[in-house]
Amino acid sequence: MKGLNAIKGILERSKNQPDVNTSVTSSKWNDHGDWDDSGSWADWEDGGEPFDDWIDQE
Amino acid sequence: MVLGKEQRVIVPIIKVVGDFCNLRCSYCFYHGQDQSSLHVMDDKLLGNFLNQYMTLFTGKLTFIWHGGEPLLAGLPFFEKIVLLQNQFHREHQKIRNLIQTNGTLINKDWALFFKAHNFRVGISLDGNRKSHNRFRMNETGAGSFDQVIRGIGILREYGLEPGFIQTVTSDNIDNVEEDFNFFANDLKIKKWGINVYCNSDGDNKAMLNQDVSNTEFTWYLKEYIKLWLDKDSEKLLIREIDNFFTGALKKKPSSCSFNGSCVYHFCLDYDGKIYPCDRSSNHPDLLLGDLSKQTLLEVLTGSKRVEYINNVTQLPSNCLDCKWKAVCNNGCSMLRVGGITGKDYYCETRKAIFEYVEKLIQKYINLAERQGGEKHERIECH
Repeated sequence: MKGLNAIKGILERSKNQPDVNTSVTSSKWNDHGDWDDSGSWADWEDGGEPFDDWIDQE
Repeated sequence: MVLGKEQRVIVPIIKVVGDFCNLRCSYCFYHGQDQSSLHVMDDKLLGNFLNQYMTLFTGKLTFIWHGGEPLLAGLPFFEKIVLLQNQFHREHQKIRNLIQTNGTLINKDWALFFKAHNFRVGISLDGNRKSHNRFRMNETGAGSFDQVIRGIGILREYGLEPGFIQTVTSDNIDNVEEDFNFFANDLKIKKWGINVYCNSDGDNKAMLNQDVSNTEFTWYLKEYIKLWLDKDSEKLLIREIDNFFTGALKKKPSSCSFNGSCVYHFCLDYDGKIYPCDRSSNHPDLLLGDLSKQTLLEVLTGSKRVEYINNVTQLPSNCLDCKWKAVCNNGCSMLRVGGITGKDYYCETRKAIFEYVEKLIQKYINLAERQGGEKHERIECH
């Protein structure tokens, strides 16, 4: 089967992705043509403090 | 809920020069707008925005500098951005800057600036000369391929490796193998994304008959996957392939058009107007507010944004029992039929590719197990 290395690579990378039901608020890649691959996406997503000041302001 | 407990950062896409551009790409979102008048965001608005944004949000802050062609704002403008970001920087904030450019204006000074300030650069390149020059032209109608390649060369000379975005139209869809080989083998690009052209409104007369149909796009993506498998590199990242595989593995795909993070972006135009996304920045009905008249907090918590979020996240009925719902999220809101509450134009393609990829993964797992290779116990398929 061709592509074993390619698929292996994607499987490895997917381990760093959150599970499907995880709520996410950002994109490592987006459709505007820009992206960032420094560190894992999960690392980036988990950073920062929760934005508690904004809770239920509406 | 607009700004709930789980809400962290909302990512800004900043159109520093509005629609102004030195190219006249036929398929541009801003085709038909005034792309000839130079508007640069004024210093007061820029400072006001950065001050408010960096006061409201903390943690890891991403700024996406966009256009038009953002480099037309000039290097001093971007030096000012960095200066202001440093001025407003607070403890526990980490900043990353991304810029999307057509690449034609890159010179040594820009490369040194991007390098010095760690800007990540995205370049729009449609493929080889034939594919690229078909629609990415300057004002005189000449193709921009040579200028872009020159820009890429300068970036690489200074140790910068950009990411790429390729736009697929009906006219270049048959060039799939040539374009893949050009990216992967000739330019030795390690990562790129595929945007597909679809003008569901039919308001771009320069692109008549260029919409890529579901049948065509499904075929195209399958061809791409085959070429990617043939290339067989662990390091070669193609955004769409990555998203489909990640989704089929029940993991969260990375892109906003798959993972539902669309609503966590906003677009600030050069004049202070705020829209949900750069793709919607010429849609007055989607205008969320105006930074020259309101605070950023007022716009982001305002009724217009609440309405937008409700409309975009309410999936059509046919999505509700779809097995791919959680990893598709009805696609890009600007590619929905009949407006943002409609069904994704490429629903059929998405279903077909998810199914295709799921089978490929299963085949891989079976083979790996037969060969007594590494077990993938954590891999679960739908």
